[in-house]
Amino acid sequence: MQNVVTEVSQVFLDPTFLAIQFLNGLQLASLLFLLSVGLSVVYGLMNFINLAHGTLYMLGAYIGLSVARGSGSFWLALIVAPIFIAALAAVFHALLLRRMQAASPMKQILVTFGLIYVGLDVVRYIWGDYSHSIPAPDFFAGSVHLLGEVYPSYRLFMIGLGWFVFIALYYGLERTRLGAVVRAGVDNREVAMSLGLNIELAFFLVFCLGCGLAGLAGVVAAPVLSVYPGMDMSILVLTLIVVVIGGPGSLRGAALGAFLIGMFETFGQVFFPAIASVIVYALMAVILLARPGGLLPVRPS
Amino acid sequence: MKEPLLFVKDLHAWYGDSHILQGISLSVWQGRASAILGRNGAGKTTALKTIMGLIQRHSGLVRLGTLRLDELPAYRVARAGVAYVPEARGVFPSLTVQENLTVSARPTQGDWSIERVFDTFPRLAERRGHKGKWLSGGEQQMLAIARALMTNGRLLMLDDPTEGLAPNIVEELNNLLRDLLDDGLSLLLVEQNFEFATNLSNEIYVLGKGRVQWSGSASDLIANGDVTRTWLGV
Ligand SMILES: Nc1ncnc2c1ncn2[C@@H]1O[C@H](COP(=O)(O)OP(=O)(O)OP(=O)(O)O)[C@@H](O)[C@H]1O
Ligand SMILES: [Mg+2]
Repeated sequence: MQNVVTEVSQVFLDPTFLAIQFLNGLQLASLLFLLSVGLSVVYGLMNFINLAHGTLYMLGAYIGLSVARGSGSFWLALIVAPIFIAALAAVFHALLLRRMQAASPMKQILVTFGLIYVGLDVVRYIWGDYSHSIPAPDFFAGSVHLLGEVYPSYRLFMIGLGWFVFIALYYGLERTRLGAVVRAGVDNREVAMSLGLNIELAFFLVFCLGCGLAGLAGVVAAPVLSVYPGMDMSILVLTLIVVVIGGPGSLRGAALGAFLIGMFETFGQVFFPAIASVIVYALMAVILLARPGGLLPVRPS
Repeated sequence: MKEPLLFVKDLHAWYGDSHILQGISLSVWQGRASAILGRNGAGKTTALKTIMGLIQRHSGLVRLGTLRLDELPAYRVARAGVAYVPEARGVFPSLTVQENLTVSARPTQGDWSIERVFDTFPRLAERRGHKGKWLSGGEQQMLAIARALMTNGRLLMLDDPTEGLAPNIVEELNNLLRDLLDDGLSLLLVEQNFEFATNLSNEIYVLGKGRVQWSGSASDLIANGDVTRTWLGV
Protein backbone atom coordinates (compact mmCIF):
# COMPACT_ATOMS: atom_id res chain seq x y z
CA MET A 1 0.00 0.00 0.00
CA GLN A 2 2.69 2.39 1.09
CA ASN A 3 4.61 1.49 -2.05
CA VAL A 4 1.74 2.24 -4.37
CA VAL A 5 1.23 5.70 -2.89
CA THR A 6 4.89 6.66 -3.33
CA GLU A 7 4.93 5.25 -6.80
CA VAL A 8 1.81 7.16 -7.79
CA SER A 9 3.05 10.38 -6.29
CA GLN A 10 6.34 9.91 -8.09
CA VAL A 11 4.58 9.64 -11.41
CA PHE A 12 2.46 12.69 -10.68
CA LEU A 13 5.34 14.82 -9.63
CA ASP A 14 7.50 13.76 -12.53
CA PRO A 15 8.40 17.01 -14.31
CA THR A 16 8.00 15.46 -17.75
CA PHE A 17 4.54 14.24 -16.90
CA LEU A 18 3.59 17.67 -15.58
CA ALA A 19 4.97 19.37 -18.68
CA ILE A 20 2.96 17.10 -20.95
CA GLN A 21 -0.18 17.80 -18.95
CA PHE A 22 0.61 21.49 -19.16
CA LEU A 23 0.69 21.19 -22.94
CA ASN A 24 -2.62 19.35 -22.87
CA GLY A 25 -4.00 22.18 -20.76
CA LEU A 26 -2.74 24.71 -23.28
CA GLN A 27 -4.34 22.76 -26.09
CA LEU A 28 -7.73 22.75 -24.39
CA ALA A 29 -7.27 26.42 -23.54
CA SER A 30 -6.59 27.14 -27.19
CA LEU A 31 -9.84 25.50 -28.23
CA LEU A 32 -11.80 27.20 -25.46
CA PHE A 33 -10.34 30.54 -26.45
CA LEU A 34 -11.39 30.17 -30.09
CA LEU A 35 -14.87 29.29 -28.91
CA SER A 36 -15.34 31.75 -26.11
CA VAL A 37 -14.00 34.87 -27.78
CA GLY A 38 -16.99 35.16 -30.09
CA LEU A 39 -19.52 34.28 -27.41
CA SER A 40 -17.92 36.76 -25.05
CA VAL A 41 -17.90 39.56 -27.55
CA VAL A 42 -21.54 39.05 -28.51
CA TYR A 43 -22.60 38.96 -24.89
CA GLY A 44 -20.39 41.84 -23.76
CA LEU A 45 -20.83 44.16 -26.72
CA MET A 46 -24.27 43.40 -28.01
CA ASN A 47 -25.89 42.21 -24.79
CA PHE A 48 -26.96 39.05 -26.49
CA ILE A 49 -26.79 35.62 -24.92
CA ASN A 50 -26.25 33.19 -27.75
CA LEU A 51 -26.49 29.67 -26.40
CA ALA A 52 -26.37 28.40 -29.97
CA HIS A 53 -22.73 29.48 -30.24
CA GLY A 54 -21.73 25.86 -29.68
CA THR A 55 -23.98 24.86 -32.55
CA LEU A 56 -21.84 26.99 -34.85
CA TYR A 57 -18.83 25.07 -33.54
CA MET A 58 -20.51 21.77 -34.34
CA LEU A 59 -21.63 22.95 -37.77
CA GLY A 60 -18.10 24.17 -38.44
CA ALA A 61 -16.78 20.71 -37.65
CA TYR A 62 -19.31 19.01 -39.93
CA ILE A 63 -18.78 21.39 -42.81
CA GLY A 64 -15.07 20.93 -42.33
CA LEU A 65 -15.67 17.17 -42.43
CA SER A 66 -17.50 17.37 -45.75
CA VAL A 67 -14.94 19.72 -47.29
CA ALA A 68 -12.04 17.60 -46.08
CA ARG A 69 -13.63 14.43 -47.46
CA GLY A 70 -14.62 16.02 -50.73
CA SER A 71 -11.32 17.71 -51.42
CA GLY A 72 -8.96 15.58 -49.39
CA SER A 73 -7.51 18.74 -47.89
CA PHE A 74 -7.67 19.60 -44.21
CA TRP A 75 -6.33 23.06 -44.95
CA LEU A 76 -9.14 23.83 -47.36
CA ALA A 77 -11.63 22.73 -44.69
CA LEU A 78 -9.89 24.98 -42.19
CA ILE A 79 -10.47 27.96 -44.46
CA VAL A 80 -13.88 27.19 -45.94
CA ALA A 81 -15.75 26.16 -42.80
CA PRO A 82 -15.15 29.38 -40.83
CA ILE A 83 -16.14 31.50 -43.83
CA PHE A 84 -19.29 29.48 -44.25
CA ILE A 85 -20.13 29.79 -40.55
CA ALA A 86 -19.46 33.55 -40.60
CA ALA A 87 -21.86 33.88 -43.54
CA LEU A 88 -24.43 31.78 -41.73
CA ALA A 89 -24.00 34.04 -38.71
CA ALA A 90 -24.67 37.07 -40.89
CA VAL A 91 -27.98 35.57 -41.99
CA PHE A 92 -28.78 34.59 -38.41
CA HIS A 93 -28.08 38.17 -37.35
CA ALA A 94 -30.33 39.66 -40.01
CA LEU A 95 -33.22 37.27 -39.35
CA LEU A 96 -33.13 36.97 -35.61
CA LEU A 97 -30.50 38.71 -33.55
CA ARG A 98 -31.38 42.21 -34.69
CA ARG A 99 -34.92 41.71 -33.48
CA MET A 100 -33.91 39.88 -30.33
CA GLN A 101 -31.38 42.40 -29.10
CA ALA A 102 -33.96 44.36 -27.13
CA ALA A 103 -35.67 41.21 -25.88
CA SER A 104 -35.33 40.04 -22.30
CA PRO A 105 -32.45 37.66 -21.48
CA MET A 106 -34.98 34.91 -20.79
CA LYS A 107 -36.39 35.16 -24.30
CA GLN A 108 -32.90 35.16 -25.78
CA ILE A 109 -32.02 32.07 -23.81
CA LEU A 110 -35.18 30.26 -24.84
CA VAL A 111 -34.85 31.09 -28.51
CA THR A 112 -31.16 30.26 -28.78
CA PHE A 113 -31.68 27.14 -26.68
CA GLY A 114 -34.29 26.10 -29.23
CA LEU A 115 -31.75 26.70 -31.97
CA ILE A 116 -29.45 24.16 -30.35
CA TYR A 117 -32.06 21.49 -31.03
CA VAL A 118 -32.66 22.74 -34.53
CA GLY A 119 -28.91 22.50 -35.14
CA LEU A 120 -28.83 19.00 -33.72
CA ASP A 121 -31.62 17.82 -36.01
CA VAL A 122 -30.06 19.47 -39.05
CA VAL A 123 -26.77 17.74 -38.36
CA ARG A 124 -28.45 14.37 -37.84
CA TYR A 125 -30.48 14.79 -40.98
CA ILE A 126 -27.52 15.67 -43.17
CA TRP A 127 -24.65 13.69 -41.63
CA GLY A 128 -26.39 10.98 -39.61
CA ASP A 129 -25.98 9.83 -36.03
CA TYR A 130 -22.53 8.33 -36.21
CA SER A 131 -19.41 9.95 -35.00
CA HIS A 132 -16.77 10.92 -37.52
CA SER A 133 -13.27 12.26 -37.52
CA ILE A 134 -11.19 14.46 -39.77
CA PRO A 135 -7.64 13.10 -40.09
CA ALA A 136 -4.94 15.51 -39.06
CA PRO A 137 -3.12 17.11 -42.01
CA ASP A 138 -0.09 15.15 -43.19
CA PHE A 139 2.30 17.81 -42.04
CA PHE A 140 1.11 17.48 -38.44
CA ALA A 141 0.15 13.80 -38.55
CA GLY A 142 3.19 12.55 -36.68
CA SER A 143 4.67 13.09 -33.27
CA VAL A 144 7.58 15.05 -31.96
CA HIS A 145 10.03 14.13 -29.24
CA LEU A 146 9.63 16.44 -26.33
CA LEU A 147 11.46 16.01 -23.02
CA GLY A 148 11.99 12.37 -23.84
CA GLU A 149 8.31 11.78 -24.55
CA VAL A 150 6.45 11.60 -27.83
CA TYR A 151 3.81 14.24 -28.27
CA PRO A 152 1.38 14.52 -31.21
CA SER A 153 2.53 17.43 -33.30
CA TYR A 154 -1.07 18.27 -34.24
CA ARG A 155 -1.70 19.26 -30.63
CA LEU A 156 1.22 21.67 -30.80
CA PHE A 157 -0.35 23.09 -33.94
CA MET A 158 -3.59 23.68 -32.00
CA ILE A 159 -1.70 25.54 -29.29
CA GLY A 160 0.11 27.62 -31.88
CA LEU A 161 -3.10 28.46 -33.68
CA GLY A 162 -4.72 29.67 -30.45
CA TRP A 163 -1.80 31.98 -29.81
CA PHE A 164 -1.78 33.15 -33.40
CA VAL A 165 -5.48 34.05 -33.31
CA PHE A 166 -5.10 35.79 -29.96
CA ILE A 167 -2.22 37.92 -31.21
CA ALA A 168 -3.97 38.68 -34.51
CA LEU A 169 -7.15 39.77 -32.71
CA TYR A 170 -5.16 41.82 -30.23
CA TYR A 171 -3.32 43.54 -33.03
CA GLY A 172 -6.55 44.12 -34.91
CA LEU A 173 -8.21 45.64 -31.89
CA GLU A 174 -5.32 47.89 -30.91
CA ARG A 175 -3.88 48.87 -34.25
CA THR A 176 -6.58 48.92 -36.91
CA ARG A 177 -9.29 51.38 -37.73
CA LEU A 178 -12.05 48.81 -37.13
CA GLY A 179 -10.44 47.98 -33.79
CA ALA A 180 -10.46 51.62 -32.72
CA VAL A 181 -14.10 51.97 -33.77
CA VAL A 182 -15.02 48.88 -31.76
CA ARG A 183 -13.16 50.14 -28.69
CA ALA A 184 -14.85 53.53 -28.99
CA GLY A 185 -18.21 51.81 -29.28
CA VAL A 186 -17.48 49.73 -26.19
CA ASP A 187 -16.37 52.79 -24.22
CA ASN A 188 -19.42 54.85 -25.13
CA ARG A 189 -21.76 53.67 -27.81
CA GLU A 190 -23.91 56.82 -27.96
CA VAL A 191 -20.99 59.18 -28.25
CA ALA A 192 -19.30 56.98 -30.82
CA MET A 193 -22.40 57.03 -32.99
CA SER A 194 -22.78 60.76 -32.61
CA LEU A 195 -19.25 61.15 -34.00
CA GLY A 196 -20.30 59.39 -37.18
CA LEU A 197 -19.16 55.88 -36.36
CA ASN A 198 -21.44 53.11 -37.52
CA ILE A 199 -21.16 51.07 -34.36
CA GLU A 200 -23.91 48.69 -35.33
CA LEU A 201 -22.00 47.72 -38.47
CA ALA A 202 -18.72 47.41 -36.57
CA PHE A 203 -20.29 45.15 -33.94
CA PHE A 204 -21.97 43.14 -36.68
CA LEU A 205 -18.62 42.48 -38.31
CA VAL A 206 -17.17 41.49 -34.95
CA PHE A 207 -20.12 39.17 -34.43
CA CYS A 208 -19.51 37.44 -37.76
CA LEU A 209 -15.80 37.17 -37.00
CA GLY A 210 -16.52 35.65 -33.58
CA CYS A 211 -18.92 33.12 -35.07
CA GLY A 212 -16.40 32.29 -37.79
CA LEU A 213 -13.87 31.53 -35.05
CA ALA A 214 -16.35 29.10 -33.49
CA GLY A 215 -16.47 27.37 -36.88
CA LEU A 216 -12.69 27.37 -36.97
CA ALA A 217 -12.63 25.79 -33.51
CA GLY A 218 -14.91 23.03 -34.80
CA VAL A 219 -12.56 22.11 -37.63
CA VAL A 220 -9.50 22.36 -35.42
CA ALA A 221 -11.05 20.11 -32.78
CA ALA A 222 -12.19 17.48 -35.26
CA PRO A 223 -8.91 15.49 -35.54
CA VAL A 224 -8.63 15.30 -31.74
CA LEU A 225 -12.19 15.12 -30.46
CA SER A 226 -14.57 13.33 -32.74
CA VAL A 227 -17.35 14.94 -34.73
CA TYR A 228 -20.78 13.84 -33.50
CA PRO A 229 -24.23 15.28 -32.89
CA GLY A 230 -24.08 16.85 -29.45
CA MET A 231 -20.37 17.74 -29.52
CA ASP A 232 -21.55 21.32 -29.04
CA MET A 233 -23.16 20.63 -25.68
CA SER A 234 -20.11 18.93 -24.25
CA ILE A 235 -18.04 22.08 -24.62
CA LEU A 236 -20.70 24.80 -24.28
CA VAL A 237 -20.68 24.77 -20.49
CA LEU A 238 -16.90 25.19 -20.26
CA THR A 239 -17.11 27.97 -22.84
CA LEU A 240 -19.77 29.79 -20.85
CA ILE A 241 -17.63 29.51 -17.74
CA VAL A 242 -14.67 30.97 -19.62
CA VAL A 243 -16.79 33.95 -20.71
CA VAL A 244 -18.11 34.59 -17.23
CA ILE A 245 -14.79 34.38 -15.38
CA GLY A 246 -12.83 36.27 -18.02
CA GLY A 247 -15.32 39.13 -18.17
CA PRO A 248 -17.84 39.34 -21.01
CA GLY A 249 -16.71 41.32 -24.03
CA SER A 250 -13.04 41.23 -23.16
CA LEU A 251 -10.48 39.70 -25.51
CA ARG A 252 -7.80 39.37 -22.86
CA GLY A 253 -10.45 38.10 -20.45
CA ALA A 254 -11.41 35.32 -22.84
CA ALA A 255 -7.74 34.36 -23.21
CA LEU A 256 -7.10 34.38 -19.46
CA GLY A 257 -10.35 32.53 -18.73
CA ALA A 258 -9.55 29.91 -21.36
CA PHE A 259 -6.08 29.43 -19.92
CA LEU A 260 -7.39 28.96 -16.38
CA ILE A 261 -10.20 26.61 -17.33
CA GLY A 262 -7.94 24.66 -19.70
CA MET A 263 -5.45 24.12 -16.89
CA PHE A 264 -7.88 23.41 -14.07
CA GLU A 265 -9.90 21.04 -16.21
CA THR A 266 -6.83 19.15 -17.44
CA PHE A 267 -5.00 18.91 -14.13
CA GLY A 268 -8.27 18.25 -12.31
CA GLN A 269 -8.91 15.24 -14.54
CA VAL A 270 -5.43 13.95 -13.82
CA PHE A 271 -5.10 14.52 -10.09
CA PHE A 272 -8.68 14.47 -8.83
CA PRO A 273 -10.68 12.58 -11.46
CA ALA A 274 -13.54 11.95 -9.03
CA ILE A 275 -14.23 15.64 -8.47
CA ALA A 276 -12.79 17.06 -11.69
CA SER A 277 -16.06 18.46 -12.96
CA VAL A 278 -16.68 20.24 -9.66
CA ILE A 279 -13.31 21.96 -9.72
CA VAL A 280 -14.05 24.36 -12.57
CA TYR A 281 -17.38 25.32 -11.00
CA ALA A 282 -15.66 25.94 -7.70
CA LEU A 283 -13.07 28.05 -9.49
CA MET A 284 -15.83 30.04 -11.16
CA ALA A 285 -17.64 30.56 -7.87
CA VAL A 286 -14.49 31.80 -6.15
CA ILE A 287 -13.61 34.17 -8.98
CA LEU A 288 -17.12 35.56 -9.23
CA LEU A 289 -17.32 36.12 -5.48
CA ALA A 290 -14.11 38.12 -5.60
CA ARG A 291 -14.81 39.83 -8.94
CA PRO A 292 -18.45 39.69 -10.02
CA GLY A 293 -17.64 41.30 -13.37
CA GLY A 294 -15.01 38.70 -14.21
CA LEU A 295 -11.23 38.95 -14.10
CA LEU A 296 -10.70 41.45 -16.92
CA PRO A 297 -14.04 43.20 -17.49
CA VAL A 298 -14.21 45.33 -20.57
CA ARG A 299 -15.91 48.17 -18.72
CA PRO A 300 -14.49 48.68 -15.25
CA SER A 301 -17.56 49.14 -13.06
CA MET B 1 -33.61 86.89 -43.59
CA LYS B 2 -31.58 84.02 -45.04
CA GLU B 3 -32.61 80.39 -44.49
CA PRO B 4 -31.23 78.95 -41.25
CA LEU B 5 -28.53 76.27 -41.34
CA LEU B 6 -30.31 74.20 -38.70
CA PHE B 7 -34.07 74.33 -38.65
CA VAL B 8 -36.04 72.46 -36.00
CA LYS B 9 -39.81 72.53 -36.01
CA ASP B 10 -42.28 71.08 -33.53
CA LEU B 11 -39.96 68.36 -32.28
CA HIS B 12 -41.38 65.84 -29.81
CA ALA B 13 -39.53 63.19 -27.82
CA TRP B 14 -40.45 60.72 -25.12
CA TYR B 15 -38.62 58.74 -22.48
CA GLY B 16 -40.92 55.78 -22.09
CA ASP B 17 -44.19 57.30 -20.94
CA SER B 18 -42.87 60.77 -20.17
CA HIS B 19 -43.37 63.36 -22.85
CA ILE B 20 -40.10 65.28 -22.44
CA LEU B 21 -40.00 67.47 -25.56
CA GLN B 22 -43.46 68.79 -26.27
CA GLY B 23 -42.88 70.46 -29.59
CA ILE B 24 -39.81 72.67 -29.69
CA SER B 25 -38.80 74.83 -32.63
CA LEU B 26 -35.51 76.62 -33.08
CA SER B 27 -33.02 77.79 -35.70
CA VAL B 28 -29.28 78.29 -36.00
CA TRP B 29 -27.84 80.51 -38.71
CA GLN B 30 -24.59 80.09 -40.59
CA GLY B 31 -21.68 81.55 -38.64
CA ARG B 32 -23.85 82.42 -35.66
CA ALA B 33 -24.59 80.94 -32.27
CA SER B 34 -27.93 79.98 -30.77
CA ALA B 35 -28.26 78.95 -27.15
CA ILE B 36 -30.77 76.83 -25.29
CA LEU B 37 -31.15 77.90 -21.68
CA GLY B 38 -33.27 76.43 -18.93
CA ARG B 39 -33.26 74.99 -15.46
CA ASN B 40 -32.06 71.52 -14.55
CA GLY B 41 -34.30 68.94 -16.10
CA ALA B 42 -35.86 71.40 -18.55
CA GLY B 43 -35.01 69.08 -21.44
CA LYS B 44 -31.93 70.78 -22.91
CA THR B 45 -29.82 67.65 -23.20
CA THR B 46 -32.82 65.78 -24.53
CA ALA B 47 -33.23 68.42 -27.22
CA LEU B 48 -29.65 67.99 -28.47
CA LYS B 49 -29.83 64.21 -28.31
CA THR B 50 -33.09 64.21 -30.22
CA ILE B 51 -31.66 66.42 -32.95
CA MET B 52 -28.68 64.07 -33.08
CA GLY B 53 -30.94 61.04 -33.41
CA LEU B 54 -29.77 59.43 -30.19
CA ILE B 55 -33.32 59.50 -28.89
CA GLN B 56 -36.18 58.30 -31.01
CA ARG B 57 -37.83 61.33 -32.57
CA HIS B 58 -41.53 61.12 -32.07
CA SER B 59 -42.57 63.73 -34.56
CA GLY B 60 -41.30 67.00 -35.96
CA LEU B 61 -38.87 68.30 -38.53
CA VAL B 62 -35.09 68.66 -38.34
CA ARG B 63 -33.25 70.09 -41.33
CA LEU B 64 -29.59 70.92 -41.94
CA GLY B 65 -29.51 73.17 -44.97
CA THR B 66 -31.80 71.34 -47.34
CA LEU B 67 -31.19 67.89 -45.87
CA ARG B 68 -33.81 66.24 -43.66
CA LEU B 69 -32.12 64.77 -40.58
CA ASP B 70 -35.12 63.48 -38.70
CA GLU B 71 -35.20 60.12 -40.40
CA LEU B 72 -31.48 59.45 -40.11
CA PRO B 73 -29.63 57.37 -37.51
CA ALA B 74 -27.16 59.25 -35.32
CA TYR B 75 -24.06 58.30 -37.27
CA ARG B 76 -25.61 59.64 -40.48
CA VAL B 77 -26.60 62.88 -38.76
CA ALA B 78 -22.98 63.25 -37.73
CA ARG B 79 -21.74 62.54 -41.24
CA ALA B 80 -24.23 65.04 -42.61
CA GLY B 81 -22.36 67.76 -40.72
CA VAL B 82 -23.50 67.91 -37.11
CA ALA B 83 -20.62 67.79 -34.64
CA TYR B 84 -21.59 67.04 -31.07
CA VAL B 85 -19.89 67.63 -27.74
CA PRO B 86 -21.96 65.66 -25.24
CA GLU B 87 -22.77 66.49 -21.65
CA ALA B 88 -19.91 65.36 -19.39
CA ARG B 89 -17.67 65.27 -22.49
CA GLY B 90 -17.86 61.56 -23.24
CA VAL B 91 -14.13 61.25 -23.95
CA PHE B 92 -13.35 57.60 -24.77
CA PRO B 93 -11.47 56.54 -21.64
CA SER B 94 -9.57 53.59 -23.07
CA LEU B 95 -8.49 55.36 -26.25
CA THR B 96 -5.46 57.62 -26.30
CA VAL B 97 -5.87 61.33 -27.01
CA GLN B 98 -4.65 60.73 -30.54
CA GLU B 99 -7.03 57.81 -31.07
CA ASN B 100 -9.94 59.85 -29.71
CA LEU B 101 -9.17 62.34 -32.45
CA THR B 102 -8.40 60.02 -35.35
CA VAL B 103 -11.29 57.64 -34.80
CA SER B 104 -13.78 60.40 -35.57
CA ALA B 105 -11.74 62.10 -38.29
CA ARG B 106 -13.38 62.78 -41.63
CA PRO B 107 -10.62 64.76 -43.30
CA THR B 108 -12.13 64.87 -46.77
CA GLN B 109 -14.95 67.16 -45.72
CA GLY B 110 -13.10 70.15 -44.32
CA ASP B 111 -9.92 71.64 -43.04
CA TRP B 112 -9.62 70.33 -39.49
CA SER B 113 -6.76 67.86 -39.40
CA ILE B 114 -4.86 66.36 -36.51
CA GLU B 115 -2.00 68.83 -37.15
CA ARG B 116 -4.33 71.80 -36.94
CA VAL B 117 -5.94 70.41 -33.78
CA PHE B 118 -2.54 69.96 -32.14
CA ASP B 119 -1.62 73.49 -33.25
CA THR B 120 -4.78 74.89 -31.71
CA PHE B 121 -4.61 72.77 -28.56
CA PRO B 122 -0.94 72.39 -27.66
CA ARG B 123 -1.82 70.68 -24.39
CA LEU B 124 -3.49 67.88 -26.31
CA ALA B 125 -0.37 67.52 -28.45
CA GLU B 126 1.71 67.04 -25.31
CA ARG B 127 -0.66 64.35 -24.08
CA ARG B 128 -1.32 62.63 -27.38
CA GLY B 129 -0.24 59.22 -26.08
CA HIS B 130 -2.21 59.41 -22.82
CA LYS B 131 -5.44 57.50 -22.36
CA GLY B 132 -8.57 59.62 -22.26
CA LYS B 133 -9.29 58.67 -18.67
CA TRP B 134 -6.10 60.28 -17.39
CA LEU B 135 -6.95 63.80 -18.61
CA SER B 136 -8.07 66.64 -16.35
CA GLY B 137 -11.58 68.04 -16.72
CA GLY B 138 -10.37 70.99 -18.76
CA GLU B 139 -8.26 68.78 -21.01
CA GLN B 140 -11.21 66.45 -21.50
CA GLN B 141 -13.39 69.35 -22.56
CA MET B 142 -10.75 70.50 -25.04
CA LEU B 143 -10.44 66.96 -26.36
CA ALA B 144 -14.22 66.59 -26.70
CA ILE B 145 -14.36 69.80 -28.73
CA ALA B 146 -11.28 68.95 -30.78
CA ARG B 147 -12.72 65.52 -31.50
CA ALA B 148 -15.99 67.06 -32.65
CA LEU B 149 -14.05 69.47 -34.88
CA MET B 150 -12.24 66.53 -36.46
CA THR B 151 -15.57 65.42 -37.93
CA ASN B 152 -15.47 68.66 -39.94
CA GLY B 153 -19.14 69.37 -39.45
CA ARG B 154 -20.89 72.64 -40.23
CA LEU B 155 -22.77 72.87 -36.97
CA LEU B 156 -21.21 72.34 -33.57
CA MET B 157 -23.57 71.42 -30.73
CA LEU B 158 -22.15 71.74 -27.21
CA ASP B 159 -23.92 70.48 -24.10
CA ASP B 160 -22.94 72.45 -21.00
CA PRO B 161 -19.32 72.93 -22.06
CA THR B 162 -18.37 75.22 -19.16
CA GLU B 163 -19.56 72.84 -16.48
CA GLY B 164 -16.90 72.21 -13.88
CA LEU B 165 -14.26 74.33 -15.60
CA ALA B 166 -12.02 76.86 -13.82
CA PRO B 167 -12.69 80.52 -14.76
CA ASN B 168 -9.51 80.86 -16.82
CA ILE B 169 -10.42 77.76 -18.84
CA VAL B 170 -13.93 79.15 -19.38
CA GLU B 171 -12.31 82.30 -20.75
CA GLU B 172 -10.14 80.20 -23.06
CA LEU B 173 -13.21 78.31 -24.23
CA ASN B 174 -15.00 81.57 -24.93
CA ASN B 175 -12.13 82.74 -27.13
CA LEU B 176 -11.98 79.44 -28.94
CA LEU B 177 -15.68 79.44 -29.73
CA ARG B 178 -15.42 83.05 -30.97
CA ASP B 179 -12.63 82.04 -33.32
CA LEU B 180 -14.71 79.16 -34.59
CA LEU B 181 -17.65 81.48 -35.24
CA ASP B 182 -15.35 83.86 -37.13
CA ASP B 183 -14.30 80.86 -39.21
CA GLY B 184 -17.92 80.43 -40.27
CA LEU B 185 -18.86 77.54 -38.01
CA SER B 186 -22.35 77.62 -36.48
CA LEU B 187 -22.98 76.82 -32.83
CA LEU B 188 -25.88 75.43 -30.87
CA LEU B 189 -25.03 75.86 -27.22
CA VAL B 190 -26.73 74.41 -24.15
CA GLU B 191 -25.61 76.28 -21.05
CA GLN B 192 -26.16 76.72 -17.35
CA ASN B 193 -23.77 79.66 -17.37
CA PHE B 194 -26.05 82.56 -18.28
CA GLU B 195 -23.30 85.10 -18.87
CA PHE B 196 -21.24 82.78 -21.03
CA ALA B 197 -24.22 81.92 -23.19
CA THR B 198 -25.63 85.43 -23.63
CA ASN B 199 -22.15 86.73 -24.36
CA LEU B 200 -21.63 84.35 -27.29
CA SER B 201 -25.07 83.80 -28.71
CA ASN B 202 -27.20 85.76 -31.10
CA GLU B 203 -30.43 83.85 -30.56
CA ILE B 204 -31.58 82.48 -27.23
CA TYR B 205 -34.24 79.86 -26.62
CA VAL B 206 -35.53 79.50 -23.07
CA LEU B 207 -36.72 75.99 -22.45
CA GLY B 208 -39.13 75.06 -19.67
CA LYS B 209 -41.47 72.13 -19.17
CA GLY B 210 -40.49 70.69 -22.54
CA ARG B 211 -41.43 73.80 -24.52
CA VAL B 212 -39.70 76.92 -25.76
CA GLN B 213 -41.11 79.48 -23.31
CA TRP B 214 -39.35 82.49 -24.76
CA SER B 215 -37.02 83.25 -27.63
CA GLY B 216 -35.23 86.36 -28.76
CA SER B 217 -31.89 88.13 -28.74
CA ALA B 218 -29.45 88.00 -25.85
CA SER B 219 -29.90 91.68 -25.04
CA ASP B 220 -33.70 91.33 -24.96
CA LEU B 221 -33.36 88.43 -22.55
CA ILE B 222 -31.03 90.31 -20.23
CA ALA B 223 -33.57 93.15 -20.16
CA ASN B 224 -36.47 90.82 -19.48
CA GLY B 225 -36.50 90.18 -15.73
CA ASP B 226 -39.78 88.27 -15.82
CA VAL B 227 -38.45 85.58 -18.13
CA THR B 228 -35.10 85.18 -16.40
CA ARG B 229 -36.76 84.98 -12.97
CA THR B 230 -39.53 82.56 -13.98
CA TRP B 231 -37.65 80.21 -16.28
CA LEU B 232 -34.01 80.55 -15.38
CA GLY B 233 -34.01 81.63 -11.76
CA VAL B 234 -31.24 84.14 -12.46
N1 LIG C 1 -32.69 58.26 -19.74
C1 LIG C 1 -33.77 58.89 -19.21
N2 LIG C 1 -34.87 58.19 -18.89
C2 LIG C 1 -35.96 58.80 -18.39
N3 LIG C 1 -36.05 60.10 -18.16
C3 LIG C 1 -34.99 60.86 -18.44
C4 LIG C 1 -33.79 60.30 -18.99
N4 LIG C 1 -32.90 61.28 -19.16
C5 LIG C 1 -33.50 62.41 -18.76
N5 LIG C 1 -34.76 62.18 -18.33
C6 LIG C 1 -35.72 63.17 -17.83
O1 LIG C 1 -35.97 64.06 -18.87
C7 LIG C 1 -36.06 65.38 -18.38
C8 LIG C 1 -35.14 66.27 -19.16
O2 LIG C 1 -33.81 65.86 -18.94
P1 LIG C 1 -32.56 66.56 -19.61
O3 LIG C 1 -31.37 65.76 -19.29
O4 LIG C 1 -32.86 66.81 -21.03
O5 LIG C 1 -32.53 67.94 -18.83
P2 LIG C 1 -31.45 69.11 -18.95
O6 LIG C 1 -32.20 70.33 -19.27
O7 LIG C 1 -30.34 68.73 -19.81
O8 LIG C 1 -30.97 69.19 -17.43
P3 LIG C 1 -29.51 69.57 -16.84
O9 LIG C 1 -29.40 71.03 -16.88
O10 LIG C 1 -29.56 69.04 -15.44
O11 LIG C 1 -28.49 68.87 -17.68
C9 LIG C 1 -35.77 65.31 -16.90
O12 LIG C 1 -37.01 65.36 -16.21
C10 LIG C 1 -35.12 63.98 -16.72
O13 LIG C 1 -35.45 63.46 -15.47
MG1 LIG D 1 -28.39 68.30 -19.49
